[in-house]
Amino acid sequence: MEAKQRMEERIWAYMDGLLDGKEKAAVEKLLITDPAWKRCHDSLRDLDRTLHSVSLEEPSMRFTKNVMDQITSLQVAPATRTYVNKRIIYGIGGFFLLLITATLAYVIPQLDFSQTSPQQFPVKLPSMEFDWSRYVNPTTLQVFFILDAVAALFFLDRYLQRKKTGWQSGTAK
Amino acid sequence: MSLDLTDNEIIARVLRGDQQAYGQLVGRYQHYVFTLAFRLTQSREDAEEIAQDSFIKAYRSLADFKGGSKFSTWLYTIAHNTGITFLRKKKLPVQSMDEEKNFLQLENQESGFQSNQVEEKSKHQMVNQAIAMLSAEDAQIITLFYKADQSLQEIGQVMGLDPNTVKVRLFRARQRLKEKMEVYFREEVANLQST
Repeated sequence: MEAKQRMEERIWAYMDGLLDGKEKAAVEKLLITDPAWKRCHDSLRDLDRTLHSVSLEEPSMRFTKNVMDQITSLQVAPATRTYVNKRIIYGIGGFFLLLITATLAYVIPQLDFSQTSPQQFPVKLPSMEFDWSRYVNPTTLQVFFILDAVAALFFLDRYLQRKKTGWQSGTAK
Repeated sequence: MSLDLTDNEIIARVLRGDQQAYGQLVGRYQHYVFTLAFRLTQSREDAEEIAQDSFIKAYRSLADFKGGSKFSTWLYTIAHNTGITFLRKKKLPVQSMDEEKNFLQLENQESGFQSNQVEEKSKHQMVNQAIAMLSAEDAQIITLFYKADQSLQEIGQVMGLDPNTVKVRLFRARQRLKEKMEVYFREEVANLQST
């Protein structure tokens, strides 16, 4: 069974023109000398010819007209390359590269490779003496949650409006 | 308006503002795009919707077509992606039609045999029926290779696959098609071979 499959695989590759000169010659020799190869080749060639001659499916008679009707109100969008500014992309890339380089430049000189204890972190991190309580308190949290709720309602409203428009245009078709 | 314009010449005209020239591209490729969509959905209505959407998306993005590949390959890529998105939205299986659907189709075809209707069907219809029994992916690969005149590399581009993977899948698709024809159209194949 496996031998038959390998034979078919090579015959298909031969018919598709995917074999190099040496392999092609080997298959051609087998097709002349081996009746099993010849039979298989004839059967696959019949299928190949049939597949080439199979007709395509027909769309509706109005297909082209429908497409042309729909594009009359549309414009070809400007090419992506005209509105994607490469300088911005390179700028963002450069910023992150600089950030990584600066972090490494700060961390690597501080590494103590003689340190053996896993308990102690080998890099001394800068101390952050910052009074968070001045900014994070119940009032700011309440304001934050209210703003979140307003934003959520705003986006929900926009989403529902878009859906409504979609339904209306769907029924209008 | 000459009908012998190449795809790239038509695209240049459309980009210069001749919207009607796009109709030539639609006319030239509508059967291919529709067939690809039909192989995915097995529904004429859905295939028509996918094919129309594909042509509209292609029109909107025409300025992005750089001519690095054939226009047909670029268009089929849009059609393939539109079809896959459509199936996902409708929650239909993307990779293959489910077995139940295959069996239902086969049952219908077998009942056709009993009433001797199939004997009147042409070889092409028989092959098309066998293709319809394949998974959507197998049917697409066969259509792109045999009907849409796409190379293995181009099929890879359309379906987002490596050309070697396409080669293996094309082989398997043809094997499965051959098996279907031998199992379900044995008599017809024998008759055709004897004529």
